[in-house]
Amino acid sequence: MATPAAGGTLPTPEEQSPPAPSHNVAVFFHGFFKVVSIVWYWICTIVSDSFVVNFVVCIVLLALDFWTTKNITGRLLVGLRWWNEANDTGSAWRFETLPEGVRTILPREKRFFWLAILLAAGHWILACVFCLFGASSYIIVAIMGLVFNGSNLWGYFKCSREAQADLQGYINSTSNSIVQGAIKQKLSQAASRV
Amino acid sequence: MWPLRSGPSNVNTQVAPPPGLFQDVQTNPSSITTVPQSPPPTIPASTQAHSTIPEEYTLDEPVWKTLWRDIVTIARNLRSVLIPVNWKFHGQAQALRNWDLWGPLVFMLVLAIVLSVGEQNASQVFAMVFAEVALGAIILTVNVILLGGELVFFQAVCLLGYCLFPLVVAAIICASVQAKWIRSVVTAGCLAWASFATIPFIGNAVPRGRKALAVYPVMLMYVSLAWLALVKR
Repeated sequence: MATPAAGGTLPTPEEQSPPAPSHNVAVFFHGFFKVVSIVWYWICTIVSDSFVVNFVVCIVLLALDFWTTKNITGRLLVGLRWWNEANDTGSAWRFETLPEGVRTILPREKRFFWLAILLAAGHWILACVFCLFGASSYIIVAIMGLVFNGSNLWGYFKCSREAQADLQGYINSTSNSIVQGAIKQKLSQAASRV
Repeated sequence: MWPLRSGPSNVNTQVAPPPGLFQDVQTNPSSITTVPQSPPPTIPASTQAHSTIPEEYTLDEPVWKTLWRDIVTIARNLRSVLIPVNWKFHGQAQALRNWDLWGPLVFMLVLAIVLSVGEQNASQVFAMVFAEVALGAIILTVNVILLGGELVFFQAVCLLGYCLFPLVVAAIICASVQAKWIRSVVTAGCLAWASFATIPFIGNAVPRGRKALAVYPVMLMYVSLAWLALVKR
């Protein structure tokens, strides 16, 4: 959190400008793997006769998309990250977010990120339904696609909720009214960010 | 590089985590409220043993570093599962703390491919093997949990998946060798290897008296896969 050093004045929103780098390569790959896996899923029966080859290529594309979204594009485009730790008390899901003032998230990248994830998850749900009605053996691919994309959607959704809850908790626990006023200002910015 | 603030599941970030649980996270409140001006301190390698991901400074790391970390995790999991040096439950559970499902996915695919190559109804065999392994791992883990076992779900699925590796070896050897006795010996040996890797883990996770109930379905799945490898073509 960007708060003033002791004895300093509060920075106004106009004074502070954390860096706002753009990540065009990440944006490209975020969309690329999703689009390619979806397109391949629909045209693979036309292109190739071998179920095994189609299946394996689908799974590989889905896995590449999952890994890229989870490990790379999430933290670059929206500054969020989620993972799981197995410790002595069982498994713990961890959700991380960038603190404020470190880096500005570009709104267009954030929009693209969430749009791509939601559309992909929606597509795989539809693909599962189609496969159910068509009794196709490609339903395994559709289910895997749903698992991969759905888990990313769930993980990042929980990350963004954590960020909102974190901000609320920080504000409630603070007793300094001046700092509270400035933070309420930042909350309204952050609410549009998350 | 900037320090991160990790959000626990409850809102209260001021509670210090119990010692021994998050040894490598320095979440003192002052680090949250100040904007750091100097490069952050490095984390000594020994404290990273308990965590899947080094706790801090990973939101801006380069891509190849993320990739390399995952590869190292896969290699470490493979080695610790398949070379059962430590036979006790807690030793293996410790070793699989950084579970990952990439290894199981790769082994599932390779096993299904090898078992379906050259068959008449290759697609059916492939789909059957893939579905059997995927569903089997999930259902067997649920079985252990329902029997009162203390398992982390993903850790157990990870273990069951990595223990497919001996069966993959057996399938590849059986697919390239015609002599029945070689196939039988190799398959039996790999089956024993896979059993030695899973049975201590599964058996010690459930209460006494239910060991057989938990272990039997696992052995059934491995024996069926080994049989498919043995009778191929």
